[in-house]
Amino acid sequence: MLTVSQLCKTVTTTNGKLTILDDINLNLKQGESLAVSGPSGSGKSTLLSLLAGLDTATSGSILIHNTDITHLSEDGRAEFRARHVGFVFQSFHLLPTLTALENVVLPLELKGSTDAIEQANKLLFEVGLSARSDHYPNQLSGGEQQRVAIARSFASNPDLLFADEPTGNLDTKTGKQIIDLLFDLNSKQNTTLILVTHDNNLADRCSRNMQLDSGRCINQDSYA
Amino acid sequence: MPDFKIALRLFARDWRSGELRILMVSLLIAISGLTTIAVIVDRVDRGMSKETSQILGADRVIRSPRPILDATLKEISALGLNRSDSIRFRTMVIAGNEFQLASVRAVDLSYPLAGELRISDTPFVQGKPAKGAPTTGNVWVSPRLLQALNISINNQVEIGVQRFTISGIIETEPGNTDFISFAPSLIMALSDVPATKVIQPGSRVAYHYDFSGSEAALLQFDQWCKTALSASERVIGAEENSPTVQSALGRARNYLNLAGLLGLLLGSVAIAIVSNRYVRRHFDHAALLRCIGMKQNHILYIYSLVLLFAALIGTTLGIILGYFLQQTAITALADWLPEKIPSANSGAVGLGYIAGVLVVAGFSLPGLLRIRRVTPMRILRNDLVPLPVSAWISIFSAITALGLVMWRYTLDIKLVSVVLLGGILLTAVLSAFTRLLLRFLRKVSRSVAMPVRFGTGHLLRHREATLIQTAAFSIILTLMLTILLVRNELISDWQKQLPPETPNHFVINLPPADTQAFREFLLTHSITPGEIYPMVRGRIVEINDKSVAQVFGEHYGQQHNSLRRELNLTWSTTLPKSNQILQGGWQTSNKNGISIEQEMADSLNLQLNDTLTFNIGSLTTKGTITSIRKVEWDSFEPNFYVIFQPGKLESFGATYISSFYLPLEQKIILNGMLQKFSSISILETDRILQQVRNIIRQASIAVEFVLIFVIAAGLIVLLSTTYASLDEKEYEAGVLRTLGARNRTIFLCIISEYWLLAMLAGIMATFASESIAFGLYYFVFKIDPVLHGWLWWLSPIAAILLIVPAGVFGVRSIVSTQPVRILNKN
Repeated sequence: MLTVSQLCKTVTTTNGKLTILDDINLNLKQGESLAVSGPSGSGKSTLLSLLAGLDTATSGSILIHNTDITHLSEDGRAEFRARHVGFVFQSFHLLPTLTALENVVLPLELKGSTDAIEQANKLLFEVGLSARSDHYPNQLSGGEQQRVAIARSFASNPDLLFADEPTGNLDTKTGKQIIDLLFDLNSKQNTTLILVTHDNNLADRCSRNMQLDSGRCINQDSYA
Repeated sequence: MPDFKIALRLFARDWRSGELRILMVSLLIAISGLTTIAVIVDRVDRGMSKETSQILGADRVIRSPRPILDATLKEISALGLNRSDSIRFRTMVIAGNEFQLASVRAVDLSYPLAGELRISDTPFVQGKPAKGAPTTGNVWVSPRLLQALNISINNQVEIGVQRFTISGIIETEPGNTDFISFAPSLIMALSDVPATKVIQPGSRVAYHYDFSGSEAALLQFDQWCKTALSASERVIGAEENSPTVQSALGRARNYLNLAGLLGLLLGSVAIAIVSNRYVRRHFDHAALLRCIGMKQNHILYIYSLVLLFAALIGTTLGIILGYFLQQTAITALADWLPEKIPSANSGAVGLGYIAGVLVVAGFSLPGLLRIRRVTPMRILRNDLVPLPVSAWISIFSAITALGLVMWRYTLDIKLVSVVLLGGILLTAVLSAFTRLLLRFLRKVSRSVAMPVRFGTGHLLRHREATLIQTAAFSIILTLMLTILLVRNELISDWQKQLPPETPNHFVINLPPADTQAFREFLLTHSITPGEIYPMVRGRIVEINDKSVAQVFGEHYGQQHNSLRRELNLTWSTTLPKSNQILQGGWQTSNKNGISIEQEMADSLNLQLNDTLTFNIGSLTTKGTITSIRKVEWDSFEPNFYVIFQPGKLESFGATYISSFYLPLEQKIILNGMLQKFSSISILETDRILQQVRNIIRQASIAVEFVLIFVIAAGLIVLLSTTYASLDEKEYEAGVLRTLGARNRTIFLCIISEYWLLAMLAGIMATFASESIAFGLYYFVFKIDPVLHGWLWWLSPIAAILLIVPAGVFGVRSIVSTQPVRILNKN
């Protein structure tokens, strides 16, 4: 469902051109999970941004469900995200002015769902936050905020879920709960999961692994 | 000292990174606006004052019944003013068997110091500019004197024991605004006066000393006059001489000052918002500094210094830009402004610095106190936002700063108090009203489309921020609308005051038997006759049966003009057009009833039912005050201090007075009028009227220009206000985009939010500007307040048209930025 070919990203700095990602190739099937790991600055988050259409590549292609998202306009990519993609971030990125419920409702509304509130309530129940649906993000703990973010990411019933260091801001115990929840929902909904992490244990839970260093893929299992 | 270096480094870093840019831009707008307006107001005002001196013939005149001592004149000369001496007296001018009392002005060669003296060969035709006095043995006379003596140019007249040849006919003579004398004028050389022998000890002579010169010298002169002049010597300035000009200039000055003040307020709104944004964005930095061991007061000191550097640099740039803008404006408007615009003085520089530093200090103090309270824990927990300082401290510091700047600008503590108190009251009422509207909005927003609900929800959730933003927008709109309203009213009031067909000629000494014929004469020449009033000259001698000397002491003449000279008394059944009854009633059954003018009543402490005794010729007559009237002295129509009931004055043998409008091309009919009604005298006020119109036109242009400037400044402030909320909007848009929202959806959210804000601000602004305009008309401009129905629908529409595009323009960069950049920033 996801095919990446010869993906490159360079940026121009005062010291000349800087290559962030160089010749990345990848092939993923529906329901698989991929852990992207590597040292800081190796290009993990950039790869994730490109795959999710949050940023544009310099060259190469990203085919998702046979659509090359590198050829889509900004709005085209947004629409694509609304239909196919969910996100979990290290720093949650919940809107501080919306309640937990409203944050989960948001992608459903953007999709035009008629039973947005009902679905959102169901998702909050699944992540164990039914009782806190009226709370604002600043009234929730880090773990609770991340659970809201996970509920939000699954709200649009995505084919592809991107998680960028989802446990980076959490303690070990809460982190584990969050990961369990993530993998649980992932298997229930048969979502393809792409996870950026430093954590080897977490990487081991994924069916596939990819290691980046200085923008290059240095180790990838045989499917590529 | 290390703190100073840290502050300097922080400032340099923030400067490079653009953090201080918006603050600088806001200061640039506020201070350049204030400087531009302050300098233009000052220069145009001084220019218009100079223009009014054309009517007086000089910048200042000292009038004295005796020659001023040489030593005194030397003191004045030391001030560096130009001087022209003249003496004025009335004497009989004789031509053959004809006699006529004339008002003689004997002038030196420097006459006139200002304005234009024009002399012609034929009565009532365009003459040539002249300077100085007629040559020895020659005089210039007014057409009225020619007609009264039944002579023409080059004929001879006798003044005292000397004969003179009429070498010219006066078309205009600066300084002759003395309508009361009514005697036709004659100009002769000062050096010819002794030969006539008309001035003898005891003769009534007025010695006039005209002065003109630089503003600095005139200022010194005014100071000097306060102490050096004797009781009998009087100084006349250009404005005192012309009530219409005085009131027009006074209003223009008030308006322009007000515009300057409101311009400053506009800038302050921007500074308040952006300095707070700056502080908010530095919580993390402050937390880091606290973490590495910096004390709270050091943090306060460092950030205060950074803002002070910004204030000084922003203000300096603002002042430079302001001077450049005002010079450009003056050059561009040169054709419409007074001919001689004085150069800018440096007063506005000081004002600019005081305003810049005080406003930044006053408006960022709450933020600075907040940053002082940032806890080092914030380094670990980003959500630990320092509590805002008490609203009272914020309000107090802002009001103190504004109050000080406004006081420095106007030097009028009463005006400043009124504006500030009114402002506080209005803000309180408006914010309560906004809260109510928001509550209403919450109810109705549940059933609307997602982007609208999102926009509304955003406003509702950020209630405090919404209140502040609504307040900012409505203040900006209010200021713009107030300036617009007042400008409309001022200009239409001026137009009303001197409509195109304002009477520009007066006729006096019309015998009762000729009044009908006179009316018909005008009608046959297609001229609309004005009201014809009878006129009897009388002097007030007693008030409530006590002599005026008993009531006011020996120097009763200083009490009011009306005690110094004979008054023109009239009677009428109808209230004259430009009069308005303030107390009592016009209709009265009291045959002895009189109606008196309000200022005279105030000066002489007269009440209804007081009695006045008048000396008319050798007889006396009494009247009881039955009404007090307001009179528009600047209406260019016959106006009277005292109006009797019909039946009381008729026996005293009145002559009649009237006024009419005569276009320039018809002036020649005055000759025929004088031939047909030989006893009448004609006073031409068309030249003065023209000059007054010029000044009013210039004041209007200045007002228009300032209006445009304020609106432009308002728009820029609107933009910078929307810019201040950019961070949050960017972040929200980033998250929405990540979740798959299209640009259109994001735009709709932003538009609906600004649309609602604009509606709220528009409604508030209408309410506020109506209230302010009402107060201003009533207390400051003294014109009748009116409600403006159109404002109630136009203002919200204008608000939407201004705020929505400004908001969208301000946040347009969101759409072109990749969402990942926005998310990474946070």
